Amino acid sequence: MVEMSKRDIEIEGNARFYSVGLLTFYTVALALVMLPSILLWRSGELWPVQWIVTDQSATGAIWSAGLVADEGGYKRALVKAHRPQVVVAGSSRVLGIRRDAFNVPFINFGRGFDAVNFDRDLLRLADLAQPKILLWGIDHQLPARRYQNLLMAYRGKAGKLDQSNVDGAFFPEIIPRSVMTIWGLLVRQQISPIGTLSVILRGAYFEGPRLGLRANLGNLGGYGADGSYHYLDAFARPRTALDKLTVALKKMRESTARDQDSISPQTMDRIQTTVEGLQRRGITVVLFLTPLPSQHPVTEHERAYLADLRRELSSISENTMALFFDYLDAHAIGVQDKEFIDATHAGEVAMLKLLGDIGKHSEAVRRVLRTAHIEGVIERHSGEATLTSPLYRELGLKRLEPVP
Amino acid sequence: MVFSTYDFLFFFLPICLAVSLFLRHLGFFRSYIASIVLFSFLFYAFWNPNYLWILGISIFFNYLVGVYAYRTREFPVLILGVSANLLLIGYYKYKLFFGGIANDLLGTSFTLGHVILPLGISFFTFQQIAWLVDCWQGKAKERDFLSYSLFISFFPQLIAGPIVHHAEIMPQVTRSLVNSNIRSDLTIGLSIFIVGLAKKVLIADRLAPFADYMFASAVDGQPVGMLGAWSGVSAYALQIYFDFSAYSDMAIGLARMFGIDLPLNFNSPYKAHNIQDFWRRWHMTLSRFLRDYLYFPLGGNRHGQLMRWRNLMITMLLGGLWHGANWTFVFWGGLHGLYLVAFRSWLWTKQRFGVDIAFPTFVGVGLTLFFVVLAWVPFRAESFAASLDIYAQMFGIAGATSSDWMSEGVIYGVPETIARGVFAGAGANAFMSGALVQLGLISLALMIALTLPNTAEIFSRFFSPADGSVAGNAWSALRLRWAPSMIWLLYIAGIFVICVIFMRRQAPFLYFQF
Repeated sequence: MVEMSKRDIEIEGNARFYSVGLLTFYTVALALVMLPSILLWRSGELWPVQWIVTDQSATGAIWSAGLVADEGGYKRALVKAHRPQVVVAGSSRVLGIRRDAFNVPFINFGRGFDAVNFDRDLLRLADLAQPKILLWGIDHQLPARRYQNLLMAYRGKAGKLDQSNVDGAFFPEIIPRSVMTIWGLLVRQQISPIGTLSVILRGAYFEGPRLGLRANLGNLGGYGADGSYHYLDAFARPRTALDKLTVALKKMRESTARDQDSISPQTMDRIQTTVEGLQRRGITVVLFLTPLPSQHPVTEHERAYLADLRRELSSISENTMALFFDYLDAHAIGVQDKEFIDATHAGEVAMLKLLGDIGKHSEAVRRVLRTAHIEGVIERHSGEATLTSPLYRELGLKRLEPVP
Repeated sequence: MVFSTYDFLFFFLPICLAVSLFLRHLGFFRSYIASIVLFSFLFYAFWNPNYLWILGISIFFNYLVGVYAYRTREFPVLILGVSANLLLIGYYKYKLFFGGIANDLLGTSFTLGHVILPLGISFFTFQQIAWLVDCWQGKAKERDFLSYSLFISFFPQLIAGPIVHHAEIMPQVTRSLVNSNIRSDLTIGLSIFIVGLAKKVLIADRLAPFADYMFASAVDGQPVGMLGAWSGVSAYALQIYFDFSAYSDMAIGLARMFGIDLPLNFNSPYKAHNIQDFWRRWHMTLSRFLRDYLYFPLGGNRHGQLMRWRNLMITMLLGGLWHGANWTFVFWGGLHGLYLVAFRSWLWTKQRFGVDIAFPTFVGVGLTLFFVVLAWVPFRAESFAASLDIYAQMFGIAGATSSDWMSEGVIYGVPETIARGVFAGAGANAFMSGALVQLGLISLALMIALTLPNTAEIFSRFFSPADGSVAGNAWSALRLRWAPSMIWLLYIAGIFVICVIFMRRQAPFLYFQF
């Protein structure tokens, strides 16, 4: 015979109401938190980067995170999984270089390093991947004094604000972003309940294999299995505080060379030290200045800055015996403005022209290039920003119109 | 995994409860116990799966030794078991500390390497030492390895206590198997848990930035001035109070969801009338362990005043060292030892010379709180030098006063930022608005600590501490007693909603580091 303990409440009357009420409350809270969690999980947003890399290898999915994108970790996981013989490193401006151009394993490490600590990250990459060739695309603003300061200031600000959501709203503390983001998007009708349900049930809102919240809920594109970026025809996002901040930052970056800036000797020293470090590891290093559309340079000061930059990089090239190519003026190798995706990023056809040119001057690079493929693509698609691939068709891509 | 996180509250806990209680409901009692053990190991693995083996091996070894010690009652068996536990904790917790001392004393430069302290090692090691002693004395007996695993690894008290005796817990597990009032246990447990959650999320975590900033400033050598130092130390004193109180409540609430009442570990220590009373209220199960397994074996108070003072000092110094392998903790323990010696001396003097002086309660509480707050300085400071620097600032010995001690350096949360905005709208400058927010929070927390009844008192009708202790204080402004009523549902549910909104992702309990 079991007796009821004196410490128990009797489940009747008010006590029953309390008990059911509290457990119901907890269950409702649980549901409110769990629903976004399920959605995030189904979309691949919460997956470890190793899972993403494995899934991409199997399905060819694109990946674009909406909450916190650990792009460095993701790119290192790609490198670790594929052991590439050729790696291209740099900012988002090199992301148009794809695996198709090479006849050996290749990974695009664009945005894989921290622009402030590029030396540390590139040597780490070299130790991890031990590639034979490293193509390092250097943006014209990288060694600018103001750019480095700006990056550090921005990072401090972003750290304090605890980063941002896919919808651009800041939630530094109240409710985890993972939960609030989804409900925020739903309340603002930026995604439909049916669309959300679609992601939960099918794992995607749009067509095709996609991983990450941004890839699933915003048709903006994402990283392919080789680490290069696929730009999709996106619906316009509303201008949020983050968008405005990003645009302002972009403008400031673009104007870095135009207003009173100068080259940081310390950064140039770090570039040289990094090249030497890479070469000591037996890697063939190819430096190139990433291409710009024809409107650059526009001011005298910028011309002077770019001239300094070319001179300094040539000097590094001479000191280290690394190859150096200047593609700031991309028209010299036949790149047209309409082959740029936007005012900053050259498309894949432009990048193939760039690779073809490097191959003409470097036997080591020529050996790893699919020269016939590159020439064929250039012949057929010159003047286009992007190429239509089976992946794009699967993803429901509408071809990008050239930038006017 | 921290109790006050979404991962725990909305992922781990519901799954763990659903699986284990379903097994219990079906009558699969061994599976029920096995499921709790499994979830407890999973809980531990969330921190660092690489150290699961330490917990596993420790449990297995102590189980074998305990069973053998009970059977043979041989002292060398006990010594073997206790020594192995001390070696384990010595390696992981004290290797660098004592190795550094040895290098300094001998003038050597042995490489000591880097050791990551396994979470909760101080707690599960001490609990198992107590188990071994109890077995050797014939007080504890456990033949079932699964039950013993549950006794040690039970996740509500695995990481930061309370340090429990076998006899306090295991009979309750057996009872809970046949007592099927799951809804009652869930309701009471969840209510207690939510009160603890509120202490953590709404008080302790809100005070943390102020304390962190002040102690970080001391490390950086930036003076914060007398007011800044007192404010920062007070913030820490209240942060650790509510943090540990919250953990204790949440542990009790969680255990109750499984039908188990843990012993009381925290009983409004800032209401203590004297320092001895403080140690009967703060981390009660550690005090009990140190008393039973250190102070008494040393002789306790049986051989005169001098020996009592010596034993008190040794116990408190080792108690300090238990908290961390650093001279600052030893100093903290030493300070408390001195406080206790001074208090015992005062009692002895009163008795010896027939002095009949009785201070009002508030004087005793105030003095005790003052000295306890002073002792928190070395406990929290990064180094002994930083402690001295803070003391110098607290007593006006240090130089300049910085004016930004509560404006620019502190990272404010959303409610504090809003409050600052309100003060700024009323004309306060950045310094004043920061000061008002910080002092307001500290005052509010102090009021709560000193005037409101504690959780055990609030739930006293439905919670009986496993050690038989009774929560009770001479005075509380309000006589709050929980009952399963509509008004309490509104209170608890309201608190829960606010906590869920303000829960932070990374705010571990302070006692996790010990």
